[in-house]
Amino acid sequence: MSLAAVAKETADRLDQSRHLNAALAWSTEALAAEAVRVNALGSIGPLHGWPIAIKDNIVTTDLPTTCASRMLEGYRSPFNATVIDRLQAAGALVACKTNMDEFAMGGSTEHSAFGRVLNPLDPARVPGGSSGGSAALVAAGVVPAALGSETGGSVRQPAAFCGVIGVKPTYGRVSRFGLVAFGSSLDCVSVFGRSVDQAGHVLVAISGQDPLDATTAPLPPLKLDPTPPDLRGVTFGVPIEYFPRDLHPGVRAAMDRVIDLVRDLGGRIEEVSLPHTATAVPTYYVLAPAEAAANLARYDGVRFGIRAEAGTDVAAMYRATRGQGFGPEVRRRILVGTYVLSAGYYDAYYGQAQAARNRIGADFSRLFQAGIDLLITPTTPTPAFRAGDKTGDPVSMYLADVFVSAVSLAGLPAMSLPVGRDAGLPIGMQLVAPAFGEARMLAIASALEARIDAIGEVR
Amino acid sequence: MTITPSDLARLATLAALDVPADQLATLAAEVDRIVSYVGQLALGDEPADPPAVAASVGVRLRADVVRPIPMLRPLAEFAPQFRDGFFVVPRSAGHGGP
Amino acid sequence: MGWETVIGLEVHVQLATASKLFCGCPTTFGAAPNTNVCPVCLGLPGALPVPNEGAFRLATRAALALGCTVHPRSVFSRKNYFYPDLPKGYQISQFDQPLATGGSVACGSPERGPITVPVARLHVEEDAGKSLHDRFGGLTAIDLNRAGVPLAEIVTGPDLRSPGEARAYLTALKQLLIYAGVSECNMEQGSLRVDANVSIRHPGGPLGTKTEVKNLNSFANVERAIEAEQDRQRTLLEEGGRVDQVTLLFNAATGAVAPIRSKEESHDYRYFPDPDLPPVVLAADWIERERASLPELPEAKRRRFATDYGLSAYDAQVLAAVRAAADYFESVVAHGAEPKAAANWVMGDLLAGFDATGSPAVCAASLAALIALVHEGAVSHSAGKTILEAISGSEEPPAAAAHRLGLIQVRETATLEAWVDQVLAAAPSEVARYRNGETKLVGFLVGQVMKLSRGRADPKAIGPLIERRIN
Repeated sequence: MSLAAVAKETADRLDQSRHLNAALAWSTEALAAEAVRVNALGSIGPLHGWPIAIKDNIVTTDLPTTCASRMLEGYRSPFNATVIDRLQAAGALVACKTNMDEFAMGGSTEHSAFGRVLNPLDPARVPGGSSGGSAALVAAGVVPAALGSETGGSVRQPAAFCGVIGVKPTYGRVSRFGLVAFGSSLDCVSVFGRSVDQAGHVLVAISGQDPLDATTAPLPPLKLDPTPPDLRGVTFGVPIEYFPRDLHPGVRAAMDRVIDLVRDLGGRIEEVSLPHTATAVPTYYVLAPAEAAANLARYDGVRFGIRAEAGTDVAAMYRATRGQGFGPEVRRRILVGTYVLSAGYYDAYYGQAQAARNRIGADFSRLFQAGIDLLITPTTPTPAFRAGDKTGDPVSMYLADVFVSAVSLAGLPAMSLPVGRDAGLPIGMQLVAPAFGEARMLAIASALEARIDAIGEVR
Repeated sequence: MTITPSDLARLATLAALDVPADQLATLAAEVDRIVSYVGQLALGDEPADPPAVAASVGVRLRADVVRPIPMLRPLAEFAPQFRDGFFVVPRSAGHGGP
Repeated sequence: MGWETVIGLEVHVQLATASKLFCGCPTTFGAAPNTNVCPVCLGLPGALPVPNEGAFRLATRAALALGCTVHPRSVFSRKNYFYPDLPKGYQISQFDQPLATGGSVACGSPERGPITVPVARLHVEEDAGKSLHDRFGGLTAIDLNRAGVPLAEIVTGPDLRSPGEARAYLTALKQLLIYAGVSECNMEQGSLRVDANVSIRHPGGPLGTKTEVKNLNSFANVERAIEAEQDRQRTLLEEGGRVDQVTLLFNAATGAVAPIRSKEESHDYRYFPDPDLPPVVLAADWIERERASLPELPEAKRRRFATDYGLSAYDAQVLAAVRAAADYFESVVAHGAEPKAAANWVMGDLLAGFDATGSPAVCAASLAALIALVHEGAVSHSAGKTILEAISGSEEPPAAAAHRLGLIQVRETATLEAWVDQVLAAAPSEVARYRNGETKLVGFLVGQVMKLSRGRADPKAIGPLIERRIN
């Protein structure tokens, strides 16, 4: 099939999936131009002709970048994110920008200024978030792969809710240049794919040190492991804290089934403990808002974005612009972040959270040093919840991150893999690897993927 | 720990965020709930300073070379107000710096 | 009881890098507004800072020149506040872990004599942009060319005791920074800026409430502004009022200080470590390389000039104050000039030129050759000055100029005798008076001979010749 035909079909699929509200910006013309651009590359890249959807907090020059916020409505970046340059150089077509929780703050993609995203498997349910638009488009078969971003599970959790692969690399593996900052010490461009292999190839294309991001690791780009994986001799740690008594029975059944499969394939299962797991969510909800409060200070109506006209005083202009431009969840987090950094509270909140973060990291290091190769956990405590279920109580929404936020705080690579369904809803299993252990994690995930019935009912 | 509407108003000023007066109380309660939830960290009896995970490797420094990142759009295209090469804002009340 | 003024200074110097602190934009002064900008220094969504090694090299040199301890690990923090010329809504600065601490600057206090002013800390930070309030009516125009330019902030404690001391400290600090090649220290272009913290107290008493005085655009105005502020505080306290902790602007036209209209919110900068920037780690050998490559600093040079060249303390200080002049002086000596004569010539005629242009009017070899001509008597001292003026800015050798201008002293006895005879013949009464014992008239007669020779006669040879002829 020609690139022009791929572009046309992708645009058609985007048109047909409009009801999901998963894509914010796309056009047949822009996709056709992408096809022309790839043809002009003169070489066949590793992602030649792959249409890839891009979360709307990754800046692109050809399509608007809004972060699903009124604040950036219509904003067109004068530069591309490094990951966009790399995808384009690899021959991919930028398919569209995807809906998300505003500025990536949320776990359900209900906090978008442009409306909620539907879960393609059950429109009454959320696709997860904050990268819900990207997850939904991959799940609906509109694109084979998509970029999302993680600060505290924003790819793994929607991958689990939508039944697709979601891979978060090690912090520093992929450039953040051009990823609109939320919690800079946590933010990672991450990948969705319909298969482990697809996600892996996209991750390879975007990974590697970037002179424009001082936090990228001085390592060569990721290489996938070509050797056929053999689980014999691989030790899987199963942390008891991730299997609480009130774990959703469908999730428990799916995990039991996977653990049995691992044993059947010759893997060693070892029960382990990550004693500081319970502190991860509160730690995250101190550090991420603190960083966000500063990161979102640049939205002031001076240089770009919207400006609210408010009399003749610049301070009033700031307050009006920011008051009108940010939605309720963003506003809450900015206020929380401002509070935890303010005079007299820094040590009690930010200082404590940094210490807690170190302890959480040490929990993981200890296990990996003791010979655990990978950790296996559920990705989420429940399958996708109904839209509106958690919007009334922010803290209950935060607790949906309980199994994903510790990994983000530790900066480790992790992924979610669909491992079955319960009453039609996908259930995700999380694999966690040591820092920069993506290649082995992906190889092992491939081996499991080949044997797991990802769409069968688990009970 | 309770965040009062007046605490919230102070935070909103620091964050340059208009909060309509009729929303102050609700928002104060929401922020209070979040802050109370994360405040459990301060109650931990863990030793305060575990060894930092951060390695001794420092940030990579860039050579002092003039190499601006190209801008594919002129400033005037995305600036809310732009005149004679300047970004333009309403004048500040005291027009003194901090 | 008297009052004592207590002053601390915060000095911002622009580090003389080619590119900005966190992006590759140029730091050139005077570009059209908002042309030296990119996504990073504009604070656009998605942009990230990458620190400039050159800025750390220069800041480290500054710290070493001030005798600070340079910390192998320093941390960038975000200082959060909103201002239209601060693009990100925070300034990237260093807070609790600065690059360097604990140095000092030696200078001369007008009241206390030689003092050593402790430097509390030196840290690296980015500059903000520029707000122009008078460009458009009712509006503020923002130019972000300066945003992200690297600065070193050098902070003293409350250790200065008079406006004159503050000025002496600044003068010595500027000398050091220029010596170390850290900054151009040009106040007009904003590459050196000073804020003063001022309080007054009764000597020996507790510190008073301090105010911060800004908008100080010359060292003279720093002195004037502190004088105005100490007077303002004294009047307040003596009239039973109190000093509030405010920020004041100095008005150079009126010489007065006035508080900036106070803002409602108190400052709460909410510093925290910048998550985009891991700590800056400087290797010990990197720091030592910078230390080793520092030039000799003014203090050491002063001492050496006095001992090695036998210069007076004053001459040594004047020459050492300007690095280019000191280097030039040594180069002239290296070309064979006698040191004291070289010092006199450099200080007398060339120093002003250094101040204006930074380079000498004639090369060191030429000046040394000229000094030799004077020394050996080939030209008179005053002719030497004429020659220097004549060859300024040209390559003409001094001897050639002397010949061209007819300034070579005449020492042939026959010619000198002819001039002497002509003068004696024209002044019979003076000759008679001389013979009657008025021997001091020889000076007059020598002068007449000099006049007749148009300055070319060697005055040392004429006196004896006259005496011989008369007697």
